[in-house]
Amino acid sequence: MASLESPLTTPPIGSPRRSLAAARLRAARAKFTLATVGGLVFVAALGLARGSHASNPKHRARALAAPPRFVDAVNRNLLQAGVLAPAQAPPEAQTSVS
Amino acid sequence: MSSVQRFCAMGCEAVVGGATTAERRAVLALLEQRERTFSRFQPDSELRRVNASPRPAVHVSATFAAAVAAALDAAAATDGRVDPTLLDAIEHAGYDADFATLRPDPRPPGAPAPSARVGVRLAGRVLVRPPGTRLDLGGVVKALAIDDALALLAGPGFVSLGGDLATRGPLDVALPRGGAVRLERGGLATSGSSGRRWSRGGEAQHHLIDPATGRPATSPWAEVTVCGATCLAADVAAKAAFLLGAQGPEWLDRRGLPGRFVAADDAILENASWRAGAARAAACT
Repeated sequence: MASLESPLTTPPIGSPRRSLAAARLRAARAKFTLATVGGLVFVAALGLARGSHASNPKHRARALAAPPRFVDAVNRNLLQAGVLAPAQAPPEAQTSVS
Repeated sequence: MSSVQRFCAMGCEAVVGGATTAERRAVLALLEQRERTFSRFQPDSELRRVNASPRPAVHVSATFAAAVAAALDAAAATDGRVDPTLLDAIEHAGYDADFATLRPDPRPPGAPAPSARVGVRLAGRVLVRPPGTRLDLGGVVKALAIDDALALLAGPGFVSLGGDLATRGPLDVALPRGGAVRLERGGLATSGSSGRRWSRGGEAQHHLIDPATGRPATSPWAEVTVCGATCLAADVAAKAAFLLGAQGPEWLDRRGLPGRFVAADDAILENASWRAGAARAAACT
């Protein structure tokens, strides 16, 4: 007599149908896990690439400017002091407003 | 320095010490060339040609480019106080002809003219500036000429032009309102409002323009003398210290620059660097 198993009823333990359903569930979970991990790896690799590849802008573009300390040092170099001493002879020249 | 030669150049008295005859001729030729290039009043000067050009970018000579570069450096070093774009301001104040020909003018001064320095750029020998901007390089040209003239002397000597000077070797120099100092090396320059003065609209005017107001500056000092490593450094610092007024002595001290200030009532103030320099040298001798 042929088995009258209904598709709506849970197959008994050890039956081929139940084993097949369990296998399909495991396969689906594995696919989901692989897809999730793959997606996360892809996003992480994308972020790392954007952060390290030379052609990708990492900051907003801004005008080139020398650091203030460097500018200050250059300015000081322009305005260097001479060397003075007390007069020791009659002046040969004079400084005055022209 | 035994041989001292005097002659007229760039509208001032030039004094050259320690030069051979050939060197004196070379110095005179250099000063005459600078006069032809930078004069505000000679119609064929390069400065007049550049200022008259309507183009935003102009190709200039190497000498002109060097002066513009020095002027822009001076402006940066003085936070914009020594500004090469105040020609309109000085002309509005009445200095619009050779100083020797200026006469009292009853008309009131023109409107203050602002600085346009931030738009001036130099790329090699191409000068770029905002439309209508005219340059006055008088703030650096004379001092640059003195430094360049000194470089023409092979041995110890000095070059003085209109009261500013540079020396190679010790030189005793008379100071404004009396006194003297020995300049061991470098340059000495004096700036102030007591020399180049004229009357416009019944008011005394002078050539040191305050970039903040576009008018002749108000300062407690009549004259400021500064000692720099070069005449250019001394002259730029003297102008800035004059324009800074009461803050001038301390501004110079922060840069280690010796400065001597003559007030309007003839009182003399030497900043700490001036006093320390003289005392250190005296202690060593």
